[in-house]
Amino acid sequence: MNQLTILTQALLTASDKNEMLLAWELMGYGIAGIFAVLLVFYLVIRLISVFCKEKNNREDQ
Amino acid sequence: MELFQKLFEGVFDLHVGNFIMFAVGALLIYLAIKKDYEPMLLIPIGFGAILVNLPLETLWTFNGERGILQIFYDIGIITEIFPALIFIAVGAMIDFSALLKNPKMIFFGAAAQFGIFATVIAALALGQAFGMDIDLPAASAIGIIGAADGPTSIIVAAQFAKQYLGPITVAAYSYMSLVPIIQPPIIRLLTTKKERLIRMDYEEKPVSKTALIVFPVVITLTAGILVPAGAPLIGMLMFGNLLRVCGVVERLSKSAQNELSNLVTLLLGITIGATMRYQEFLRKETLLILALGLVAFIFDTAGGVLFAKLLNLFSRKKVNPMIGAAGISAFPMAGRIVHKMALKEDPTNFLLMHSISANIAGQLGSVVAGGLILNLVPMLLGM
Repeated sequence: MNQLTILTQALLTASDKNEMLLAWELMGYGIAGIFAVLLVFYLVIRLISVFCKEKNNREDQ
Repeated sequence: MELFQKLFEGVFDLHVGNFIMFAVGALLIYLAIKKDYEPMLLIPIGFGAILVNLPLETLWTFNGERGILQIFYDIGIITEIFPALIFIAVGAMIDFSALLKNPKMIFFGAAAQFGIFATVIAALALGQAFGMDIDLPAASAIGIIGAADGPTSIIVAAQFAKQYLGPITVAAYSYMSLVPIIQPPIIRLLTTKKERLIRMDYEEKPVSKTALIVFPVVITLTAGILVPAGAPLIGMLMFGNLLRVCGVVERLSKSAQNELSNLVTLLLGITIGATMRYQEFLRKETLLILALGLVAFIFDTAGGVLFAKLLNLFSRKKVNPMIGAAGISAFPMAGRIVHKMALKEDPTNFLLMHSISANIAGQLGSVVAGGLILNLVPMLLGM
Protein backbone atom coordinates (compact mmCIF):
# COMPACT_ATOMS: atom_id res chain seq x y z
CA MET A 1 0.00 0.00 0.00
CA ASN A 2 1.65 3.26 -1.00
CA GLN A 3 1.96 6.30 1.21
CA LEU A 4 -0.78 8.19 -0.65
CA THR A 5 -3.31 5.43 0.02
CA ILE A 6 -2.32 5.31 3.67
CA LEU A 7 -2.66 9.09 3.87
CA THR A 8 -6.10 9.08 2.23
CA GLN A 9 -7.33 6.36 4.53
CA ALA A 10 -5.92 8.20 7.52
CA LEU A 11 -7.78 11.39 6.51
CA LEU A 12 -11.12 9.64 6.16
CA THR A 13 -11.17 6.97 8.83
CA ALA A 14 -10.51 6.67 12.50
CA SER A 15 -7.16 5.52 13.72
CA ASP A 16 -6.87 2.94 16.51
CA LYS A 17 -7.54 5.65 19.05
CA ASN A 18 -10.41 7.18 17.03
CA GLU A 19 -8.40 10.38 16.99
CA MET A 20 -9.05 11.30 13.38
CA LEU A 21 -12.78 11.40 14.04
CA LEU A 22 -12.08 13.55 17.09
CA ALA A 23 -9.96 15.87 14.93
CA TRP A 24 -12.87 16.38 12.53
CA GLU A 25 -15.11 17.02 15.52
CA LEU A 26 -12.56 19.50 16.84
CA MET A 27 -12.70 21.31 13.52
CA GLY A 28 -16.48 21.45 13.58
CA TYR A 29 -16.79 22.60 17.18
CA GLY A 30 -13.76 24.83 16.92
CA ILE A 31 -14.83 26.82 13.86
CA ALA A 32 -18.42 27.02 15.07
CA GLY A 33 -17.17 28.07 18.49
CA ILE A 34 -14.93 30.84 17.16
CA PHE A 35 -17.76 32.23 15.03
CA ALA A 36 -20.18 32.01 17.95
CA VAL A 37 -17.83 33.79 20.35
CA LEU A 38 -16.97 36.48 17.83
CA LEU A 39 -20.68 36.92 17.08
CA VAL A 40 -21.17 37.65 20.78
CA PHE A 41 -18.22 40.08 20.64
CA TYR A 42 -19.84 41.74 17.62
CA LEU A 43 -23.10 42.19 19.51
CA VAL A 44 -21.17 43.52 22.50
CA ILE A 45 -19.41 46.05 20.26
CA ARG A 46 -22.73 47.16 18.78
CA LEU A 47 -24.17 47.60 22.29
CA ILE A 48 -21.11 49.55 23.41
CA SER A 49 -21.44 51.77 20.34
CA VAL A 50 -25.09 52.48 21.20
CA PHE A 51 -24.65 53.15 24.92
CA CYS A 52 -21.27 54.86 24.83
CA LYS A 53 -21.74 57.40 22.06
CA GLU A 54 -19.55 60.46 21.57
CA LYS A 55 -20.75 63.36 23.78
CA ASN A 56 -21.43 65.59 20.72
CA ASN A 57 -23.58 62.95 19.04
CA ARG A 58 -25.65 62.48 22.16
CA GLU A 59 -26.18 66.25 22.63
CA ASP A 60 -27.26 66.64 18.98
CA GLN A 61 -29.91 64.02 19.58
CA MET B 1 44.43 9.66 30.86
CA GLU B 2 41.51 10.19 33.20
CA LEU B 3 42.79 13.68 33.98
CA PHE B 4 43.11 14.39 30.24
CA GLN B 5 39.52 13.25 29.66
CA LYS B 6 38.28 15.33 32.57
CA LEU B 7 40.18 18.38 31.34
CA PHE B 8 38.72 18.12 27.87
CA GLU B 9 35.34 16.60 28.76
CA GLY B 10 33.63 19.32 26.71
CA VAL B 11 35.39 18.15 23.56
CA PHE B 12 34.65 14.48 24.29
CA ASP B 13 30.98 15.29 24.88
CA LEU B 14 30.56 16.78 21.40
CA HIS B 15 28.23 15.01 19.01
CA VAL B 16 27.23 15.67 15.41
CA GLY B 17 23.90 16.91 16.74
CA ASN B 18 25.65 19.72 18.62
CA PHE B 19 27.20 21.03 15.40
CA ILE B 20 23.94 20.80 13.50
CA MET B 21 22.20 22.84 16.17
CA PHE B 22 25.03 25.40 16.18
CA ALA B 23 24.35 25.77 12.46
CA VAL B 24 20.57 26.04 13.04
CA GLY B 25 21.11 28.72 15.67
CA ALA B 26 23.49 30.59 13.40
CA LEU B 27 20.98 30.33 10.54
CA LEU B 28 18.23 31.88 12.67
CA ILE B 29 20.58 34.71 13.67
CA TYR B 30 21.55 35.21 10.02
CA LEU B 31 17.90 35.33 8.91
CA ALA B 32 17.14 37.83 11.65
CA ILE B 33 20.02 40.17 10.87
CA LYS B 34 20.42 39.88 7.10
CA LYS B 35 16.79 39.29 6.08
CA ASP B 36 15.08 41.10 8.96
CA TYR B 37 12.92 38.04 9.82
CA GLU B 38 11.45 38.86 13.25
CA PRO B 39 14.84 39.80 14.70
CA MET B 40 13.42 40.52 18.18
CA LEU B 41 12.61 36.83 18.54
CA LEU B 42 14.91 34.99 16.19
CA ILE B 43 18.14 36.43 17.60
CA PRO B 44 17.43 35.30 21.19
CA ILE B 45 16.01 31.99 19.92
CA GLY B 46 19.02 31.37 17.69
CA PHE B 47 21.51 32.23 20.41
CA GLY B 48 19.56 30.21 22.97
CA ALA B 49 19.78 27.21 20.63
CA ILE B 50 23.55 27.62 20.46
CA LEU B 51 23.86 28.02 24.25
CA VAL B 52 21.80 24.96 25.15
CA ASN B 53 23.69 22.76 22.70
CA LEU B 54 27.12 23.58 24.13
CA PRO B 55 28.85 20.43 25.45
CA LEU B 56 27.64 19.05 28.79
CA GLU B 57 24.55 21.34 28.51
CA THR B 58 25.85 23.41 31.40
CA LEU B 59 23.25 26.10 30.82
CA TRP B 60 20.46 23.52 31.17
CA THR B 61 21.85 21.52 34.12
CA PHE B 62 24.85 22.54 36.18
CA ASN B 63 26.41 20.29 38.81
CA GLY B 64 23.21 18.27 38.98
CA GLU B 65 21.08 21.36 39.59
CA ARG B 66 18.92 23.28 37.15
CA GLY B 67 20.95 25.59 34.95
CA ILE B 68 19.99 29.18 34.20
CA LEU B 69 18.08 28.32 31.02
CA GLN B 70 16.09 25.59 32.75
CA ILE B 71 15.21 28.04 35.54
CA PHE B 72 13.95 30.54 32.94
CA TYR B 73 12.00 27.71 31.30
CA ASP B 74 10.39 26.54 34.56
CA ILE B 75 9.57 30.07 35.69
CA GLY B 76 8.47 31.55 32.39
CA ILE B 77 7.17 28.82 30.10
CA ILE B 78 5.79 26.07 32.36
CA THR B 79 3.95 28.66 34.44
CA GLU B 80 2.94 30.55 31.24
CA ILE B 81 4.09 33.82 32.79
CA PHE B 82 6.15 34.93 29.78
CA PRO B 83 3.33 34.63 27.20
CA ALA B 84 0.93 36.32 29.65
CA LEU B 85 3.29 39.28 30.11
CA ILE B 86 3.81 39.51 26.35
CA PHE B 87 0.06 39.70 25.93
CA ILE B 88 -0.12 42.66 28.32
CA ALA B 89 2.45 44.38 26.12
CA VAL B 90 0.61 43.45 22.90
CA GLY B 91 -2.70 44.69 24.32
CA ALA B 92 -1.07 48.00 25.21
CA MET B 93 0.07 48.37 21.61
CA ILE B 94 -3.25 47.60 19.88
CA ASP B 95 -5.73 50.30 18.94
CA PHE B 96 -9.12 48.59 18.76
CA SER B 97 -10.88 51.72 17.48
CA ALA B 98 -10.58 50.52 13.86
CA LEU B 99 -12.58 47.42 14.82
CA LEU B 100 -15.09 49.40 16.89
CA LYS B 101 -15.71 51.62 13.85
CA ASN B 102 -16.18 48.65 11.54
CA PRO B 103 -17.37 45.72 13.70
CA LYS B 104 -18.55 43.52 10.80
CA MET B 105 -14.90 42.81 10.00
CA ILE B 106 -14.74 40.71 13.18
CA PHE B 107 -16.03 37.66 11.31
CA PHE B 108 -12.98 37.59 9.07
CA GLY B 109 -10.97 37.16 12.25
CA ALA B 110 -12.93 33.93 12.75
CA ALA B 111 -12.71 32.64 9.18
CA ALA B 112 -8.96 33.09 8.98
CA GLN B 113 -8.43 30.63 11.87
CA PHE B 114 -9.52 27.76 9.60
CA GLY B 115 -5.88 26.84 9.00
CA ILE B 116 -5.48 25.80 12.64
CA PHE B 117 -8.01 23.00 12.37
CA ALA B 118 -7.06 21.92 8.87
CA THR B 119 -3.49 21.55 10.13
CA VAL B 120 -4.60 19.46 13.12
CA ILE B 121 -6.13 16.98 10.68
CA ALA B 122 -3.10 17.10 8.39
CA ALA B 123 -0.74 16.59 11.36
CA LEU B 124 -2.64 13.53 12.57
CA ALA B 125 -2.90 12.06 9.07
CA LEU B 126 0.74 12.63 8.16
CA GLY B 127 1.90 11.50 11.58
CA GLN B 128 0.02 8.26 11.11
CA ALA B 129 1.16 7.83 7.51
CA PHE B 130 4.84 8.27 8.44
CA GLY B 131 4.74 6.42 11.74
CA MET B 132 5.37 9.44 13.98
CA ASP B 133 4.40 9.98 17.59
CA ILE B 134 1.66 12.57 17.04
CA ASP B 135 -1.60 12.27 18.95
CA LEU B 136 -4.52 14.73 19.02
CA PRO B 137 -3.03 17.05 21.68
CA ALA B 138 0.29 17.19 19.81
CA ALA B 139 -1.53 17.75 16.51
CA SER B 140 -3.49 20.60 18.15
CA ALA B 141 -0.24 22.14 19.37
CA ILE B 142 1.08 21.96 15.79
CA GLY B 143 -2.19 23.31 14.38
CA ILE B 144 -2.06 26.37 16.64
CA ILE B 145 0.85 27.65 14.54
CA GLY B 146 -2.01 28.75 12.30
CA ALA B 147 -3.11 31.22 14.97
CA ALA B 148 -0.13 33.32 13.75
CA ASP B 149 0.27 34.38 17.36
CA GLY B 150 3.45 33.57 19.25
CA PRO B 151 2.18 33.66 22.85
CA THR B 152 -0.93 31.60 21.99
CA SER B 153 1.25 29.02 20.24
CA ILE B 154 3.55 28.85 23.27
CA ILE B 155 0.70 28.42 25.75
CA VAL B 156 -1.01 25.65 23.77
CA ALA B 157 2.26 23.87 22.98
CA ALA B 158 3.37 24.08 26.64
CA GLN B 159 0.08 22.44 27.66
CA PHE B 160 -0.19 19.77 24.98
CA ALA B 161 3.21 19.05 23.50
CA LYS B 162 6.18 20.34 25.49
CA GLN B 163 8.47 18.09 23.46
CA TYR B 164 7.64 20.10 20.32
CA LEU B 165 7.67 23.57 21.91
CA GLY B 166 10.92 24.57 20.20
CA PRO B 167 10.02 23.76 16.58
CA ILE B 168 6.43 25.00 17.02
CA THR B 169 7.60 28.40 18.27
CA VAL B 170 10.33 28.71 15.65
CA ALA B 171 7.78 27.79 12.95
CA ALA B 172 5.19 30.25 14.29
CA TYR B 173 7.53 33.25 14.40
CA SER B 174 9.32 32.38 11.15
CA TYR B 175 6.13 32.02 9.14
CA MET B 176 4.70 35.20 10.67
CA SER B 177 7.63 37.07 9.21
CA LEU B 178 7.08 35.31 5.86
CA VAL B 179 3.44 36.40 5.55
CA PRO B 180 4.32 38.93 2.79
CA ILE B 181 5.64 36.00 0.73
CA ILE B 182 3.05 33.37 1.63
CA GLN B 183 -0.20 35.30 1.29
CA PRO B 184 -0.13 37.08 -2.09
CA PRO B 185 0.10 33.97 -4.31
CA ILE B 186 -2.70 32.27 -2.38
CA ILE B 187 -4.89 35.37 -2.64
CA ARG B 188 -4.26 35.66 -6.39
CA LEU B 189 -4.98 31.96 -6.88
CA LEU B 190 -8.36 32.14 -5.15
CA THR B 191 -9.64 35.43 -6.58
CA THR B 192 -10.36 36.86 -10.00
CA LYS B 193 -9.13 40.25 -11.21
CA LYS B 194 -12.71 41.54 -11.04
CA GLU B 195 -13.00 40.47 -7.39
CA ARG B 196 -9.70 42.11 -6.48
CA LEU B 197 -11.00 45.38 -7.92
CA ILE B 198 -14.09 45.48 -5.69
CA ARG B 199 -14.33 48.75 -3.81
CA MET B 200 -15.67 48.96 -0.31
CA ASP B 201 -17.26 52.09 1.14
CA TYR B 202 -15.89 53.38 4.36
CA GLU B 203 -17.88 55.57 6.69
CA GLU B 204 -15.90 57.22 9.46
CA LYS B 205 -17.82 56.52 12.69
CA PRO B 206 -16.59 58.32 15.78
CA VAL B 207 -15.69 56.12 18.72
CA SER B 208 -15.97 57.64 22.16
CA LYS B 209 -13.30 57.33 24.81
CA THR B 210 -15.91 55.64 27.02
CA ALA B 211 -16.46 52.97 24.39
CA LEU B 212 -12.72 52.34 24.14
CA ILE B 213 -12.52 51.95 27.95
CA VAL B 214 -15.62 49.78 28.32
CA PHE B 215 -14.56 47.49 25.45
CA PRO B 216 -11.64 45.66 27.13
CA VAL B 217 -13.56 45.21 30.38
CA VAL B 218 -16.69 43.81 28.76
CA ILE B 219 -14.77 41.60 26.34
CA THR B 220 -12.78 40.12 29.24
CA LEU B 221 -15.98 39.32 31.12
CA THR B 222 -17.62 37.86 28.02
CA ALA B 223 -14.65 35.77 26.98
CA GLY B 224 -14.00 34.62 30.53
CA ILE B 225 -17.55 33.31 30.78
CA LEU B 226 -17.77 31.78 27.30
CA VAL B 227 -14.22 30.37 26.98
CA PRO B 228 -12.75 30.02 30.50
CA ALA B 229 -9.55 28.36 29.25
CA GLY B 230 -8.92 31.43 27.10
CA ALA B 231 -9.34 33.84 30.02
CA PRO B 232 -5.58 34.13 30.77
CA LEU B 233 -4.94 35.02 27.13
CA ILE B 234 -7.80 37.45 26.56
CA GLY B 235 -7.62 38.83 30.07
CA MET B 236 -3.97 39.85 29.78
CA LEU B 237 -4.52 41.24 26.27
CA MET B 238 -7.43 43.37 27.44
CA PHE B 239 -5.62 44.45 30.62
CA GLY B 240 -2.83 45.84 28.46
CA ASN B 241 -5.37 47.54 26.25
CA LEU B 242 -7.11 49.12 29.23
CA LEU B 243 -3.78 50.57 30.38
CA ARG B 244 -3.49 52.17 26.93
CA VAL B 245 -6.99 53.60 26.55
CA CYS B 246 -7.86 54.77 30.05
CA GLY B 247 -5.49 57.73 29.70
CA VAL B 248 -4.58 57.96 33.39
CA VAL B 249 -1.71 55.49 33.57
CA GLU B 250 0.47 56.73 30.74
CA ARG B 251 3.64 55.51 32.48
CA LEU B 252 2.27 51.99 32.89
CA SER B 253 1.08 51.95 29.29
CA LYS B 254 4.47 53.13 28.01
CA SER B 255 6.29 50.64 30.23
CA ALA B 256 4.08 47.80 28.98
CA GLN B 257 4.69 48.78 25.36
CA ASN B 258 8.43 49.22 25.79
CA GLU B 259 10.29 47.93 28.84
CA LEU B 260 7.97 45.02 29.61
CA SER B 261 7.69 43.98 25.98
CA ASN B 262 11.43 44.17 25.36
CA LEU B 263 12.48 42.45 28.57
CA VAL B 264 10.06 39.56 28.29
CA THR B 265 10.72 39.14 24.56
CA LEU B 266 14.42 38.83 25.34
CA LEU B 267 13.89 36.22 28.07
CA LEU B 268 11.17 34.39 26.15
CA GLY B 269 13.30 34.14 23.05
CA ILE B 270 16.36 32.76 24.76
CA THR B 271 14.20 30.31 26.73
CA ILE B 272 12.50 29.03 23.59
CA GLY B 273 15.96 28.58 22.10
CA ALA B 274 16.82 26.56 25.19
CA THR B 275 14.15 24.00 24.27
CA MET B 276 16.04 23.22 21.05
CA ARG B 277 18.42 20.62 22.42
CA TYR B 278 19.58 18.41 19.58
CA GLN B 279 18.19 15.24 21.19
CA GLU B 280 14.70 16.75 20.99
CA PHE B 281 14.97 18.98 17.93
CA LEU B 282 16.65 16.71 15.41
CA ARG B 283 13.76 14.38 14.75
CA LYS B 284 11.55 13.80 11.73
CA GLU B 285 8.70 15.35 13.71
CA THR B 286 10.55 18.69 13.57
CA LEU B 287 10.62 18.65 9.78
CA LEU B 288 6.94 17.78 9.73
CA ILE B 289 6.14 20.65 12.10
CA LEU B 290 8.08 23.13 9.96
CA ALA B 291 6.23 21.93 6.85
CA LEU B 292 2.83 21.98 8.55
CA GLY B 293 3.41 25.54 9.75
CA LEU B 294 3.37 26.62 6.12
CA VAL B 295 0.23 24.54 5.51
CA ALA B 296 -1.44 26.31 8.43
CA PHE B 297 -0.76 29.78 7.04
CA ILE B 298 -1.89 28.76 3.55
CA PHE B 299 -5.18 27.38 4.85
CA ASP B 300 -5.68 30.44 7.07
CA THR B 301 -5.38 32.70 4.03
CA ALA B 302 -7.61 30.44 1.96
CA GLY B 303 -10.20 30.24 4.74
CA GLY B 304 -10.48 34.01 5.03
CA VAL B 305 -10.66 34.62 1.28
CA LEU B 306 -13.19 31.87 0.64
CA PHE B 307 -15.37 33.11 3.50
CA ALA B 308 -15.46 36.55 1.91
CA LYS B 309 -16.41 35.00 -1.45
CA LEU B 310 -19.17 33.03 0.31
CA LEU B 311 -20.51 36.24 1.86
CA ASN B 312 -20.58 37.84 -1.59
CA LEU B 313 -22.99 35.15 -2.80
CA PHE B 314 -25.61 36.37 -0.33
CA SER B 315 -24.79 40.00 0.12
CA ARG B 316 -25.71 42.93 -2.09
CA LYS B 317 -22.84 45.03 -0.75
CA LYS B 318 -19.84 43.13 -2.03
CA VAL B 319 -16.74 42.54 0.04
CA ASN B 320 -13.34 42.53 -1.59
CA PRO B 321 -12.31 38.89 -0.92
CA MET B 322 -8.72 39.92 -0.24
CA ILE B 323 -9.96 41.37 3.07
CA GLY B 324 -10.50 37.79 4.27
CA ALA B 325 -6.76 37.18 4.14
CA ALA B 326 -6.21 40.11 6.51
CA GLY B 327 -8.09 38.19 9.22
CA ILE B 328 -4.98 36.35 10.37
CA SER B 329 -3.32 37.55 13.52
CA ALA B 330 -0.05 38.74 11.94
CA PHE B 331 -0.62 42.40 12.79
CA PRO B 332 -0.17 44.78 11.02
CA MET B 333 1.52 42.91 8.20
CA ALA B 334 -1.51 41.06 6.85
CA GLY B 335 -3.58 44.24 6.78
CA ARG B 336 -0.86 46.15 4.94
CA ILE B 337 -0.30 43.35 2.42
CA VAL B 338 -3.98 43.33 1.42
CA HIS B 339 -4.01 47.13 1.18
CA LYS B 340 -0.91 47.08 -1.06
CA MET B 341 -2.34 44.35 -3.27
CA ALA B 342 -5.54 46.38 -3.72
CA LEU B 343 -3.52 49.49 -4.64
CA LYS B 344 -1.52 47.45 -7.13
CA GLU B 345 -4.73 46.39 -8.87
CA ASP B 346 -6.21 49.90 -8.71
CA PRO B 347 -4.21 52.82 -7.29
CA THR B 348 -7.44 54.51 -6.20
CA ASN B 349 -8.83 51.59 -4.21
CA PHE B 350 -8.01 52.18 -0.54
CA LEU B 351 -8.84 49.17 1.60
CA LEU B 352 -6.54 49.97 4.51
CA MET B 353 -9.24 50.76 7.10
CA HIS B 354 -11.12 47.57 6.26
CA SER B 355 -8.04 45.38 6.14
CA ILE B 356 -6.67 46.75 9.42
CA SER B 357 -10.07 46.16 11.09
CA ALA B 358 -10.01 42.56 9.87
CA ASN B 359 -6.41 42.21 11.02
CA ILE B 360 -7.28 43.44 14.52
CA ALA B 361 -10.21 41.00 14.52
CA GLY B 362 -7.67 38.30 13.77
CA GLN B 363 -5.92 39.10 17.05
CA LEU B 364 -9.16 38.36 18.90
CA GLY B 365 -9.93 35.35 16.72
CA SER B 366 -6.55 33.74 17.35
CA VAL B 367 -6.79 34.16 21.10
CA VAL B 368 -10.34 32.75 21.12
CA ALA B 369 -9.15 29.84 18.96
CA GLY B 370 -6.36 29.11 21.44
CA GLY B 371 -8.79 29.15 24.34
CA LEU B 372 -11.25 26.90 22.53
CA ILE B 373 -8.56 24.37 21.67
CA LEU B 374 -7.44 24.31 25.33
CA ASN B 375 -11.08 23.65 26.28
CA LEU B 376 -12.12 21.27 23.52
CA VAL B 377 -9.20 18.84 23.24
CA PRO B 378 -9.40 17.52 26.84
CA MET B 379 -13.18 17.46 26.52
CA LEU B 380 -13.05 15.37 23.32
CA LEU B 381 -10.49 13.01 24.81
CA GLY B 382 -12.67 12.56 27.86
CA MET B 383 -10.09 13.95 30.27
